[in-house]
Amino acid sequence: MNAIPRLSRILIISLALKADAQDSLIDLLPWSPSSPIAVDVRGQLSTTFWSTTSPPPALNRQSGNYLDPRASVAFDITAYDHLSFHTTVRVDQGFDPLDSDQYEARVDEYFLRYTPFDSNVLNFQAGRFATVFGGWVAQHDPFDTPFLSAPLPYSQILAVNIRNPDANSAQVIAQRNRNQIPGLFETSKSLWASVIWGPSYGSGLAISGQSQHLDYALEVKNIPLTEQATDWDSSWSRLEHPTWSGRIGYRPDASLALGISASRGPYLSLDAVSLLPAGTDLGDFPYTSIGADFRWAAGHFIVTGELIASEYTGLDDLPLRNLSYYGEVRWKASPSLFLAARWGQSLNDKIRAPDGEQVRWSPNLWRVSMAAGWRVTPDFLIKGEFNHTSIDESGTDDQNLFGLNATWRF
Amino acid sequence: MKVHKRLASSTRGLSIKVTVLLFSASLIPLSAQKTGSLSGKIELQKLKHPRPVVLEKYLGKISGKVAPLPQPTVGVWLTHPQLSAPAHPKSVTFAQEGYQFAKHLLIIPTGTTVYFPNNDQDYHNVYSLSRTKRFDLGRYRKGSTPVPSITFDKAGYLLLNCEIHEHMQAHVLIVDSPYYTSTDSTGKFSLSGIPPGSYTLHLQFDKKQAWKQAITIAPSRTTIARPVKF
Repeated sequence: MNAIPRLSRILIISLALKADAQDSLIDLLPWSPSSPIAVDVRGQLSTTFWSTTSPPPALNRQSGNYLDPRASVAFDITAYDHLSFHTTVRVDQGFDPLDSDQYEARVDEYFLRYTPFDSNVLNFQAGRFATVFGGWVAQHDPFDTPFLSAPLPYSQILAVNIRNPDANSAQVIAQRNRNQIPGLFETSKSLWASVIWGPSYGSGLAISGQSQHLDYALEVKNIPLTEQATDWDSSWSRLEHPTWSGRIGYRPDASLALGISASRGPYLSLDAVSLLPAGTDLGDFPYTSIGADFRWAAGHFIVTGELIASEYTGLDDLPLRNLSYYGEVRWKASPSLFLAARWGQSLNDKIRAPDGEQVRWSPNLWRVSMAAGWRVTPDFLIKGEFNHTSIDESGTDDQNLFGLNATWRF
Repeated sequence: MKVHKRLASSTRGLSIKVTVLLFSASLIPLSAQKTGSLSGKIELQKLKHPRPVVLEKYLGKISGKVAPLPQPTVGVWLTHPQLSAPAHPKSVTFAQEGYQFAKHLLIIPTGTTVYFPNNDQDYHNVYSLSRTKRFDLGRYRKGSTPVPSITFDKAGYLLLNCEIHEHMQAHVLIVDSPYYTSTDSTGKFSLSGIPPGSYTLHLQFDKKQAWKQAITIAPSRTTIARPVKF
């Protein structure tokens, strides 16, 4: 019930922050269209009403009905055409809804970019930023994606324990059985890995570039793509065992974009280090992922999809394999109204149990999502989403999630 | 007799000339009157003009070079209860090039058809959610035929956006008047061929920054508009 006063506080703070920052930064700089330095400060306020069944799917941790307000301020500075800086500061209760009991101000993204040439063929970047893997991350801003939740491969946990590594197939199966759904998916989300968790804001370095038909990006970061939002602040010491990710994109014309991505890095969290056998370290537990993405658009339609194959190597070199994909279509029915639908599936390999039986190491599941939105003005958007997840496991309830969101940028 | 004949002949000539003049005056009234002009200057540097920074956080939306922002300009037009837009205004082309709209502001008479060609190698998606005209041209590429177009049939202000490139914005003023222009990059403007009389002078930069003043146009003279109070 105290969500409204909290929301008001967030509104006042963000408006003041935006106004102060914009005015003071602009006052410092000479106003001229030809000025070599440009500053832009933008704010965004949003609130989402979530209603989830138990256990909640996707990035949500808490069942029931609740509000998830968020304020964010983005600063952009460009200097002399070759240097740019960006940062996004968010005030909320965690990147994933209700990750934290308290409101916190968090710097989710900050990076310095150097572009040596007049064209965009080469960029060097350092800081904390979203992963270059795949096609969804570049579209995850609320005004770009018609949905409230991330696609299935970016928001679904698997039975890979990142804090207490599995020694062999017996342990994998035991953990899986001990943490039978719903326990696995509700009470202990932070124990488990995903294929990719959201936009994966990690810290590190990147090189990227694009031309008319080709684009490329390579990054080295301190966190694996599987790391959950609560661990994105992992220490820089993890760069001893970095995660490398890259993507190559090809656009035959403006309507079609194709890409292939790959990532490799240790998937265990720092908490697991003390539990590792002597002579092993995080680097001995690699996560490898290969993805293909496409995006086609024409007129009022956008169709996107991704296929990601992942492998987690356990203590006895046991490979745990997952294949996830999603496809989505968005249609603008009028200048303001858009409708969207998405389908995704997560498929897992079988491993041999000690009794010789072939057992799936994590349950298969599928998810269907539907969304509708109304763009009231170019800067004010209302959208809603319903998604339904069905888990291929006897005795497991399907999961439903409904979200209604309003976002205003200024 | 000779004198009579000459007088009759010259009277006939005069009456023909008067008839021709009266006919021309009803067909093209302005050509029969001594018109006046209007000029003025606006201090553009006093306008509140946001300068969006074009920083592409993620790859995929801009594969070419981004052009500088178009110079800010102010729309200028005259209104009078008896004035209306030309019956068949010429169509206008308003391109997107270098990931910018061609101009900061476009001023057109009511009924004008505007073509929006995309001259970039990436998609653009021009739309407006303004009450004056709501439309969405969808995503289209360079060379799309027919060139997407919209006919603006109601006077008012509207904001143009590109759904893909957030920094792209342009202002459109649709006016019920044949006397309209926009300032140059120094803020100067002029209008000529205006029939003498009383008008309302409108100046508009964007949705909020708009001014108007009563003005009288005198024949064969250039009237100077009063400076805008910011």
